[in-house]
Amino acid sequence: MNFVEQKIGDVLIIGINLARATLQEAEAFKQLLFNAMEKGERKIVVDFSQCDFVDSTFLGALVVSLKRMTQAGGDIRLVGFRPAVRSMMELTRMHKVFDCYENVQDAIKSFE
Amino acid sequence: MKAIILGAGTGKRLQPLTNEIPAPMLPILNKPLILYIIEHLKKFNINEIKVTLHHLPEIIDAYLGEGEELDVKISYSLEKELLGTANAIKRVKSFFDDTILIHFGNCFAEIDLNDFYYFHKSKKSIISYAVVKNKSIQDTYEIFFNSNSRIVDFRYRKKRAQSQYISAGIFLAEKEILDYIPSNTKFSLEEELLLTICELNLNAYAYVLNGEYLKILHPRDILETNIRLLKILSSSENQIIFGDTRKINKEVYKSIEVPVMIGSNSEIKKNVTIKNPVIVGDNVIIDEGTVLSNSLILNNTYIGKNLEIEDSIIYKNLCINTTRDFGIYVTDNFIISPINKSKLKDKLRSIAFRILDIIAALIGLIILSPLMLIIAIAIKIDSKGPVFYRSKRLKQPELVEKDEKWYRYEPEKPVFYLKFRTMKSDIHPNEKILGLNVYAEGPYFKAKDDPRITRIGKFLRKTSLDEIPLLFNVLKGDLSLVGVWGLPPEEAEELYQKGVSEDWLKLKDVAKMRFKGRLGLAGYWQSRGRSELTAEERTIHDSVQAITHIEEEKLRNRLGDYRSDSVKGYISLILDTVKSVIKRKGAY
Repeated sequence: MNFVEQKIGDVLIIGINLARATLQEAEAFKQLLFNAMEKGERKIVVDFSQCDFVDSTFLGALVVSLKRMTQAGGDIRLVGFRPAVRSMMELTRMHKVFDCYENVQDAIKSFE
Repeated sequence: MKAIILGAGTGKRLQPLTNEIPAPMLPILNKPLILYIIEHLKKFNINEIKVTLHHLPEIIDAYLGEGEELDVKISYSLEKELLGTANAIKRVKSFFDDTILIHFGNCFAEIDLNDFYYFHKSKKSIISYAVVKNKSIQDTYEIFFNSNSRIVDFRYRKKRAQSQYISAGIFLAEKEILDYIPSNTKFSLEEELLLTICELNLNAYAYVLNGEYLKILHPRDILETNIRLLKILSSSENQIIFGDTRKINKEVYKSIEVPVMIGSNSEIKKNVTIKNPVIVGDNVIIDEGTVLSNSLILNNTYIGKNLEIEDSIIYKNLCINTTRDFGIYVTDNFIISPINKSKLKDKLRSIAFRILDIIAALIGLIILSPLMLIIAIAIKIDSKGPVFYRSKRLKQPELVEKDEKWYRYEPEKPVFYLKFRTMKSDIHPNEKILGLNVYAEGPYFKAKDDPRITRIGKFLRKTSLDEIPLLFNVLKGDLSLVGVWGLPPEEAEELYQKGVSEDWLKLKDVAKMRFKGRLGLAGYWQSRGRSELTAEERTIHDSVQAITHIEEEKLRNRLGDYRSDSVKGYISLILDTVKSVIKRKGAY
C-alpha cells in the first residue's frame, strides 16, 4: 500500500508509504485526496515521515488539493518532514503555504 | 557637528564573516561595532549621522532605522558602485554644512572629539587625519608628518612598518576638501586624496590619538578584540556576563573560572567545559559535554554534544552536530561559516555543465540542421516576414521595489530567446488575447487557437519545433539545457508582484523562488505536461527546478536527492522533456 489511511476522530490521516513520492504516484495521490474530499472529509493530515524525497509533481497534487479543500472550508496539514524534504519545503517557501507540524498528534490537536 | 560613517565596504578581507554581516555590524562583545561608534559620537553631541551603504545595506538599515531608539538622526546614502571613501563623501555634498566628522565603519577609537576639533580649527586644516601609533596593524596607510603635525607624506604598509603612525580612519574635514575630489572616479581618503594633499601641499594635519583603538581588518581581529575586551571588562565586573536570560547548567556555572560572556536567550547544558575566555552570542545552544576554549560563538548557533572548539569563530545560524559517541574537534583558527565562497569544486562543476551544454547543443544543431533549413524555407513561403523571432525573456522581473525596500536596484538583463517565427509579422506577439488563454487565471499566458498564428506556425508550435533555435542561445550561454523556463517581461512582473491567482493561494513567495534559478530549456515543468498543468502546479515545478541547481554548496548538501546538478539528473530531465515534447503534451 502506497498510502495508508487512518481516521482519528474527524481527522483523516494519510500516511505516504513511499521513500520517493514522485510522478508515478502523484496522480493516484491526487485522486485519493479528491475522493476523500468528495466523501466529506474536511480535516486531512498528510504524514511524510516515511519520505526522503517528494517531487514537484507530488507537491503540485498537494497544492491543487489544498486549493479545492479550502474552497470547501477544510484544510490539509502536513507533518513529519525528513531533513531533505524540510529543506526543500523551506527553500521553495511551501512551508508558508501549508500548516506544517512536527508529528501527527500536533496536527490533530491543531484541528481542535 | 554632523558625522558620516562609512559603512559601504564589502569587507573582503573579513570574509567569510562579511558574506552575511556587513563589517560595521560585526559583534564586539555581542554588540555591533557601529553602535559603539554612534554612542561615542553622541557623547560629543553629534546627533546627525549619515551612513553610507553598499554591501548588505538592509542589515544596517534594519538595525539602526532612522535612529529613533538611539536618539540620533540617521540617514543613508546608498552607493550603487563603490568608488572609494573620498568619493562617498563627495556624493553626500549637500549633507555638509560646517566642519564634518568622517568615521570608518570598521574601527573604533576612544578619541576626544572636542580636542580633535580644537586641533583641527587651530591649525586651520582643511582635512585632519586622526593617526594612531601602531606597528603591528598590516594592510594600512602610514602617515608622515612634520613637527608642526602637517602631513608631508604617506605610504601603504603591506607588512613591515616604516613609520609608527597609521591613519586611524577618523577625519575632520571642511567642505572645501570636496573641491579636490573628482566625481565619478575612484578616489579614496587614504590613497588618492593623500596623494593630492602631498602634491599640492594642502593644509592637512595629523592628530595623534591616544587611548583604546581597534580596527577590524581580518577575522582574527574580531576574535582577538572580543577576547581582549572581555578580559578588560571582566576584571572589573563579574567573571560571567549574562544577557537577559540565564539558562546555564548549575554545575557548569560553578566550574567556570575564566571570563565568559553569554548573550540573551542562550543555553549551556550539563558537562560543558569552558577552558579559556569565550563569548557566546544570543540564541545559542551549547549541548552536553562540549568543550569551549578561546572562541567566539555568534548568534543563532547550535553546538552539538561532545564537541571541542578552540581558537575559533563559529558563525551565526549554524548547527554543528555529531552522533552521540563521536566527537568533532574544531581548532586552529577556524572560522566556521554557513556560506561557502564559490569553491573550486563549484567552479569546476559549472564549467563541466557548460561544456556539457555546448556539446549537447552542438550535436542537436548538427542533427537538426536539415530540418531547420526546411522549416526556414517553409516559413518564408507561408507568410511575409523574417524566419526568426526574438522573444524577450527575463531571469528576474525588471522592477524596483520602492515602498518596502528602497535599496533594490538591480534589474536583471533580459535574454532574447531565438525562435522560429510562428505569428504574422505585423502584430505584437506578446499581447494577451483575452479568452484564448489556456490558463484559467493568473499571470501565465498561452493562447490556444490564436488567430495571429500562421499555418506553418501552428504546426511548429504543436511540435515545439519553433524552439529549436534556442540551442543557439544555449551555445551563447544565455541559458542552460536544464533550468527554469524564462518568462516574458509582463508575465514575470505580474507573477512577482501578484503571485499566481486572485484567491488566497497566491503562492507569491513560492513563485519568487523561480527567479533565483538559472534559465534553461528542459526542466520539471517542461517535462511534466507544460500547459496542461494548472498555474499553481507550474509555479511549484519552476520553483523546485530553481532550487535544485542553487549554487551555494551548503544548500545543495541540505537538499540531498533534490539536486539536479548531477549528470544523471541533468540527462534525465533532458530526456523527460524530449519525451514530453514528442508526446505533444501541453503544446498549442
